[in-house]
Amino acid sequence: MRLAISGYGVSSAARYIDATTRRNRRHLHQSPAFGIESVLRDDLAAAWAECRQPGWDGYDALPVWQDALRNMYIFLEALPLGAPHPTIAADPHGHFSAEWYRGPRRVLSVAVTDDDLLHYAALVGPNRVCGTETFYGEIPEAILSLMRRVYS
Amino acid sequence: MIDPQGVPEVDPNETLARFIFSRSHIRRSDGTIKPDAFVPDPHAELSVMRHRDATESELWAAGHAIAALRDRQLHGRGDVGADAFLQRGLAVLAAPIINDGPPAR
Repeated sequence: MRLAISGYGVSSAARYIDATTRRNRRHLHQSPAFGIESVLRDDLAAAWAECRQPGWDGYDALPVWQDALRNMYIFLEALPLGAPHPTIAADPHGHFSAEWYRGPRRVLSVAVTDDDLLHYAALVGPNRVCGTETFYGEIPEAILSLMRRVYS
Repeated sequence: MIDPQGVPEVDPNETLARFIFSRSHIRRSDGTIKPDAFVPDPHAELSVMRHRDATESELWAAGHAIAALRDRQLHGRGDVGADAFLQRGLAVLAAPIINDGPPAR
C-alpha cells in the first residue's frame, strides 16, 4: 500500500512539517547526484531572462511574471529526487512549461500557471493524454505516472 | 508578386512556416521544436507564413526581415502542412500583411 502525503494540513504542526519537508527537499535538490539545482540555475534563469518583455517570442506573447517564475521554481523543487531533468520554456500566455522529451512519441509537457494549475499533455507511443491538475505543492500522480511512462 | 486584393485561400496541401524567435522553443538535444512555439498568442490566433512558391532563400530572408523588424533573433523555422491544423478543426485563413513602407526604427 502506498501512503500519499498531502502538504496541505492547516494546523501549526502540519505547517511546520510541510516547511521542514520543503527545506530538506531543497537541501537534497542542491546535491549534484539528486538535485535539480542545475536546471534551476541554467534553463529557468535563461528562460526568465528571455521572456520578461512583452512580445518576447517575436509575436504578441505576454511577459512571464514573477508569480509564474515562483510557481515553476516550486514545481521543480517538488519533483521527486532523482527525477529526470526537464527543459524549461515559456508559452505566449506568460506561463513556464517543463518538458520531458525522449523522442517524438515519448514526450510530456507541463505548463505551470500563476493560478496554481498544471496543464499537461503527453505523447506516449500511440497514446495522447492531456489534462489539468491543481497544484497543491506536490506533483500529482497523473503527471508522475506520465513521466514514468515517457521513460519506460 | 501576388495582388494583395487577390490572395488565394489556403490549400490543405500547402506548407506553412512558423518562425522561431525564442531559443527555449528549440530542443537542444535534437533541434526539434517544442509545442510551446505553436501555442496561439493570447489572441487565439497563430501567425504563420505560406511557403507558396518561395525558395528556401526567400523563406529565410523573410524570417530574418521579421526578426529585424521585431528586434529579435531568428533561431529556426517550423514547417507544418495546413492540413495538420484543418484536421483538428482549426481554420487556416489567408491574412496577408501588407507592407506600406520601410520598417519603423
